[in-house]
Amino acid sequence: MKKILIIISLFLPNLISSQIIVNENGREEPSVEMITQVKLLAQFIERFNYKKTFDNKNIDSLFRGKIDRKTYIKLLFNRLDKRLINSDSIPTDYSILRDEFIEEVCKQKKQMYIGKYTNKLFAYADCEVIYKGKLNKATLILQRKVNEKNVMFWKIINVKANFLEIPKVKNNKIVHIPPNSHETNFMSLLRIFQKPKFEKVFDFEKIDILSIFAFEIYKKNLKFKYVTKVKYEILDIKNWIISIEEFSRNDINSGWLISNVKRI
Amino acid sequence: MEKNISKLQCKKFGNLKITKFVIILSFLCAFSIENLNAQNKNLNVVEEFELTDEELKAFKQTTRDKISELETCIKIIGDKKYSSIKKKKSIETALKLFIPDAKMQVSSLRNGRVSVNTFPMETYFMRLKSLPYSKVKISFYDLAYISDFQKGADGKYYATAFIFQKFEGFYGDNLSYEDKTQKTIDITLELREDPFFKKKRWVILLGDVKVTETKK
Repeated sequence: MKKILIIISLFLPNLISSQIIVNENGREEPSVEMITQVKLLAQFIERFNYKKTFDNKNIDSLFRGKIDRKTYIKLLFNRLDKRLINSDSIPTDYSILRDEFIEEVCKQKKQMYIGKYTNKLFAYADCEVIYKGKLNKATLILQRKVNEKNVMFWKIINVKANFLEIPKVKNNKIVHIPPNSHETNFMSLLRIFQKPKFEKVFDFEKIDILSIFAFEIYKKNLKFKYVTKVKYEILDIKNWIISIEEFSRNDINSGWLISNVKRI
Repeated sequence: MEKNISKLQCKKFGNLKITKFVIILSFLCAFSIENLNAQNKNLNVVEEFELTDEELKAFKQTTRDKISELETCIKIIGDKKYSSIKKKKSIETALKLFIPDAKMQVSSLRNGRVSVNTFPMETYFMRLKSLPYSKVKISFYDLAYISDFQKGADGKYYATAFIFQKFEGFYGDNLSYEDKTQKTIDITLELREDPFFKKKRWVILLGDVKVTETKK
């Protein structure tokens, strides 16, 4: 904590105080915690790419002289992660991995950045839904898509919803579409669909939870309520997965921070 | 009689056709990727209206002004010293800053569980107007953050603004309640036709707002 404060005080020397200052516009001057907080994912990317200062100005030589990129990225890690506490004196596996990550990202002449138009950005949105009148939890997995004209949009690419099930199919010799059915315009379906276990004739391996989820929304059996938590994964840094979560706390290390890095 | 039968047949056939059409259309709408691509292609019609980085920068400043306008409105709506008429006018002004169906979603963490409440924007302002305190002070911090605009598939540009708000509610001179919240606001930059001049111009509108309580 002391180390972080020293680093930040290099840049924000006038703000390390708990006094409330009101400026000429009648607005309160923000506290140092408010300034250093990573407010949005967009701001996280700007800081990770060493483009913007804590107070959102372009990084210049003066800033570079005080805080280098390695230190700046280190500040984007959740410092209250159990794997990082006291790791300055006693390194842990995770703190070593973090340092390797930072070294690779900031390698001289081969610096790595998160692309402004990357589609290697995924969001995991925990949400609450009402399914057939009952409250349930689901996680939507979304990917940011970017077309050739840099037009961006999110797409739901998968969903985790334990309350939905893909019908279990066992080999059933009784309910099946006979091999010659095509010759008679599949008339046998008329009879098969009257049978109690008609679903066995569907190739459910091709139907995933995402299709069922979309279909249940379409049929109005499933009503989306709201998202309770969002987590991001960025795969734009070669060989690494960066997980980002929101840490809402009154601390100089808060907001959207790295909760995990993983080598792939 | 024959006419009636043919009419009936036509109707039946028509109904069947409609039913079939509805089913096909529904499935196409729900699952067809081709349909979505086609939709995107249609939406790309507006791509001729490409804004330059400089223009987008200028709109970022305009967004800052809009946010400032919203902050002023919120202060007036909450402040007990203003008349009901002035507050009503401020609500009208504030609502004009937003897209028509904008929502305010307030989330808070209670006993480890996230509780989320969503209100139409007008309801939020009405509640703010009639809070049961004798004095209300709302202040904002000099720290509005606005992200860069990004182009969406519908030809509009999208950004996000972030502001800190401090709320203090008093009974007499005693501070009864205070909180600090963060407001994350959707911003849309879209081309709209001016009803008077019949000319298209870019308009900034505020959208849904996510409110998060700051832990003390």
